[in-house]
Amino acid sequence: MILITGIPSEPPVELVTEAAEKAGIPYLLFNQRNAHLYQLSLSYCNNQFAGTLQMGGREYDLNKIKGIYIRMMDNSFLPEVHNKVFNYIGEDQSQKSASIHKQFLDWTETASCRILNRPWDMLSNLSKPYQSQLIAAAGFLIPPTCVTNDAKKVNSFKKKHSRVIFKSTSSVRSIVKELDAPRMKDLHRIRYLPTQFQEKLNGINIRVHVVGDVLFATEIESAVIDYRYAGRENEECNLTSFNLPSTIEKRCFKISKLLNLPLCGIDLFKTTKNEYYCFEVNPSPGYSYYQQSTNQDIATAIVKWLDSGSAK
Amino acid sequence: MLCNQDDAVASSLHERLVGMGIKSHIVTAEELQYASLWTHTLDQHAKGFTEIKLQNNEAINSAELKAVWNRIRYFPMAHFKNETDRYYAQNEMSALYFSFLKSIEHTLFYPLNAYSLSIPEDNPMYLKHEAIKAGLDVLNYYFTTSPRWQSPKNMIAVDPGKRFGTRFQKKAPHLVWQNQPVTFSEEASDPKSVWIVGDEIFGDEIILKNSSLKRLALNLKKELVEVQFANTREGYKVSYINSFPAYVPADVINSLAIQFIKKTVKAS
Repeated sequence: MILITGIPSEPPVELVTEAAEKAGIPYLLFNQRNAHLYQLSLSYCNNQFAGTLQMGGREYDLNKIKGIYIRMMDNSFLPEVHNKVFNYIGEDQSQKSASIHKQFLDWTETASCRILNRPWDMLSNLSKPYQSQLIAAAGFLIPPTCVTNDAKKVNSFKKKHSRVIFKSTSSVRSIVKELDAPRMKDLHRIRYLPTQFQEKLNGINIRVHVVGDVLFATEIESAVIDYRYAGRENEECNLTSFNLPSTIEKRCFKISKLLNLPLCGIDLFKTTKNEYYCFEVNPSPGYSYYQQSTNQDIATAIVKWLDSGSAK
Repeated sequence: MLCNQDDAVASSLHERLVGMGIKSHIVTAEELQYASLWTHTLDQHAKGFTEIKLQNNEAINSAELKAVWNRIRYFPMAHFKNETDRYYAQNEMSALYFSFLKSIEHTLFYPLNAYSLSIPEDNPMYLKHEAIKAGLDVLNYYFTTSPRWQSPKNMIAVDPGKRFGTRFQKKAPHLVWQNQPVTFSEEASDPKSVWIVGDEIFGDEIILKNSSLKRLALNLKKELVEVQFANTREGYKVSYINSFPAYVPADVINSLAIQFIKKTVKAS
């Protein structure tokens, strides 16, 4: 039995659920929006752990779960827990939902089953330059980076690297933009908050999804810097399967191990000089976008790995 | 020493180090967030260099740091009035700070890990799990969202919330119908604390005899941890682990100071 957690209609959760169904792998679906209707019990008695989860009137032993796919949103953002919506569940039930989320996620840090991915291991992405230092340890190059609140330093960084982009330092999502002439005029504003600048490289974006012992590489063809937002700029984005050299595949597996992220979305960049850079590693990848464009069956790999420890 | 304002442990350690003739500086999160210059660079192999100039013109150069003790838990970023902007700024500042710490990892007591990035929120279940793995007995613990009519044997409800806690145990069977979460803990008395500093342990003699504490200290890889014990029918058991103690006794401060000096000498 595997446990799938998140919002059932969200594409990555939906695809994993469909894949489990298709592969005949027994699964349970923990719907965050119904958490207040579940019952969770966790105990340590005489140093032995026991836990049960009741859903839909049936009780499941947590010690018997083989693997867990965690794709949970912050429960404080669930619509039901806000008192101005028509389906508000009330203070008591909101509190119960929060309690179940907290205890369940705390437990996943200690659970002995396979987990994609444990919450703490996902934290490396809270700081992009922190994560870059781990990425470099796996053998990848990273774009030269400068985080500063001094416009003069940015000017000299730009002189050295010619084309420069800026983006958030943390995982709070921001759109990658080029530091062009009009934006140079606003540079003085960085004095209030150090901002991350990086050399803009020339080449192609490659997204790699590692699932345990299997990986899927996708080449992204797009004229915009941040291809995730190509639509907003009325640009197209073409995704195709890509064959990575074996040395690069090995590095991808190495990063996955180093970061304790058996499931991850690695943003690679192949330069015109044939060098591979790594921008970042996404610990909870929205892989569905890539799967739906390329037919790479990432969801099946996920459920296989959770069920048996191998995605092959 | 990097800490938030009013950190008594950092102040005591600083005073002890100065008393021992060590050149020690306290830099607060507030000073760091208002620094007139922050430059943190990584080359293409992620080799880092950091230069910080505080408002009082004091400079921090990453290449010159010998030993760093991190006690910062958050950056207030109060100069961002809008809540959304402030949330973003706090995340950005923390992200920069963690990268800075990672780049000077050799000066820290222990290398950073993912757990270090989650400082504000301890996970009691994880800490208890680590204690059990190290061979320590922990108080029986039972969390349930489905409370029964009576507490489990020899256990008491411990949640401080107004809807449960001791009221549940005495006269509130109706809470069963309210379907409220509750946590029960084994009955215990006579709390005692021990402090783990690196691989040294201080505290009550009865507890110190427990050899598993050293194993816990090694597993947690934390420079300072308080482990609380309480007496049960089966002897002393771990009741709580605090990975960010706000108060520590003088001998613990002394040990921290000595380990700090060792670190400084090693770096020199």
